[in-house]
Amino acid sequence: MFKKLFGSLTGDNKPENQNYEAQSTNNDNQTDYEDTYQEVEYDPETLHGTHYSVEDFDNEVAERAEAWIADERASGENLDEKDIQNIYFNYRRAVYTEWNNCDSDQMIRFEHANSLKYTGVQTSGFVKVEDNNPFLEPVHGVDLRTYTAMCLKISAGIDYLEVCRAMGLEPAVWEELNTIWPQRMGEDTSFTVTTLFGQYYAENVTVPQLENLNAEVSEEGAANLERMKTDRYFYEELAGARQAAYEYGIDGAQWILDNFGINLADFQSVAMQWMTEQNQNWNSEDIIRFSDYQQEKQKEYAAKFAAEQGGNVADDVNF
Amino acid sequence: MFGLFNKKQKQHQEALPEWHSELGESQQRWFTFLEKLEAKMEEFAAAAIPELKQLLQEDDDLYKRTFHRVYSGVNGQIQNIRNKARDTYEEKIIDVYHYYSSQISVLSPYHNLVSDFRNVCSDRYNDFEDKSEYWRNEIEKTQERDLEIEYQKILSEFEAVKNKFNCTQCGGGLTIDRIFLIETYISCPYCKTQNTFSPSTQARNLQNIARNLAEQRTAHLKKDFEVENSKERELYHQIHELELSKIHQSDKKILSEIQSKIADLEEQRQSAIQNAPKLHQHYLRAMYDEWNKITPDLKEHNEKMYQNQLRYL
Repeated sequence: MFKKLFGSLTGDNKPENQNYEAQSTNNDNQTDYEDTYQEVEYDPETLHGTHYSVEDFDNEVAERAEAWIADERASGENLDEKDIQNIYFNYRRAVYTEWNNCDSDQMIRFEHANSLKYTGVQTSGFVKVEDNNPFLEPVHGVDLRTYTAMCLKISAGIDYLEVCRAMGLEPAVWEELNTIWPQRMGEDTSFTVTTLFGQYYAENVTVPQLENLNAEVSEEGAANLERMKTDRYFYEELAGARQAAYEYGIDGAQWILDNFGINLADFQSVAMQWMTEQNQNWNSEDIIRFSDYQQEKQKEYAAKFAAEQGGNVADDVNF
Repeated sequence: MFGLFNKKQKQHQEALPEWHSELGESQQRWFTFLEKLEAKMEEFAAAAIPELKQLLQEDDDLYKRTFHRVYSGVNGQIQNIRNKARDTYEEKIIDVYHYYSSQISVLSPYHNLVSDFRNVCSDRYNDFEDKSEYWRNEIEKTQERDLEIEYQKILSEFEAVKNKFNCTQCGGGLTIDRIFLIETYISCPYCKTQNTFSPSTQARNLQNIARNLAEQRTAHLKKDFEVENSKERELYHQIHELELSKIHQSDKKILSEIQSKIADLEEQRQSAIQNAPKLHQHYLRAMYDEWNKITPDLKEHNEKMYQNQLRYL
């Protein structure tokens, strides 16, 4: 997952570079930080070290960034808004790492915890909501949490009309909700609505009106779902299998339902849950290990699907 | 003298280390391997493309799910071929390169043979990747469909049905004044009863195709922007070349000619930097205008999205 994200962000799919990234991260951990590591106490909310104040930190970053900006401008560089943001971003990393003597994983956790403050964008697992956010005003009396609960039921395979009936809503009202909430997700540049929706989705939220409305889940499906929630490797295996299925022209979501009894809503919910967990406890070694495992499993399932379909196009070409 | 030189060179060639032929063999195999993969890819893509086009035509599903399933499978096979090339490249070229470059001192006269091996093989690999990219794009194009046709169908359906709805209470005629995208309450002009109007599946789909249709209609403006936007890098590289050409130039006249060329290109470059965002905005405005014309009900939302997008130009 991490590698894929990296690849798509940089537009660079060359495996050589990926290996290099992976190696250099490991080396950083081992050589630069291990020997000099000191116990630093972090504020649980901001993840700043407790041996300085946030104000001091922000001032230090601003001072260094402004000095650099002045320098650049003096040498005739045109700096736009994005350049300035980047300069601040880099100094924030530098000062944080320096002052806390920490590794890059801790620095990323800090960035996640402060993403709204410094970049105006929420990060899953660290959502901060202020009162009176107009994007979170209920629509026809239905708040985002309830809306998410309805979506969960519908993507689990329950007819939307049944969900409306249980909620006591006219279908026309549901259609409006289902237009306005997604519109707000699009309009909200801080991604608060989207991230919160994802968080509720991961929590598999429900409301009393919908509690008795459950998609049919087989005994085996329930057991698999439980295992997927607690066993990260099992989740990675299914995610790899699903991906492999799509690559062989099979509807992956349906395949998971047919073979493991887990519906799309439950699958996505667990996926969100693991993503949130990963953001909160950012650890690059774990991330790479899980991603490698998923790829390995994807290959295994791909081989299985290929065998079922009489092989791949280029199976008979050898070096 | 010349004879001596030839003799020396001959000796030199004879003395080529034995691993050199091993590298040569690997290189040959690599070239043949990629040629075969390319042939497979071409054969597969050329057969798949017309099938995909036909499938898209025949898929009655609103979301074209069958098409997308097969499309994803076709891409999967292309990816499979690419992965095979990549894995083999790592194992048979890069690993071998690393092995020999660690064995052979950089001071050895033969060291460059090792890097030549890598360079030649990696150039060939890049060619393969370019070809794969070409086929990927060709396959991607099979998704394109003429949305004007679908839009016309929606419009004519609307014309045909818009006056055919009556109030459930008093039977009076209801006015459907525009294409509704979702279920909507319409109050009866005679008895004021709230009627629920449920649009057809086709009409609902207007919401899904509206943006793409607007983009199709304004594609030329997007192209204008993209052309302008790519000028900056092109001019930069031209300037860079000229800067380099100055290094070994001592003729003042020529130097000043180069300098004036550079100044000229730099002026063009600055103007491209200024113009590109303007053309981008021009395109976006036209695209959103088109979109709003197609689905006026979404205008309020779309305008907010437009404003957000402007901030990131």
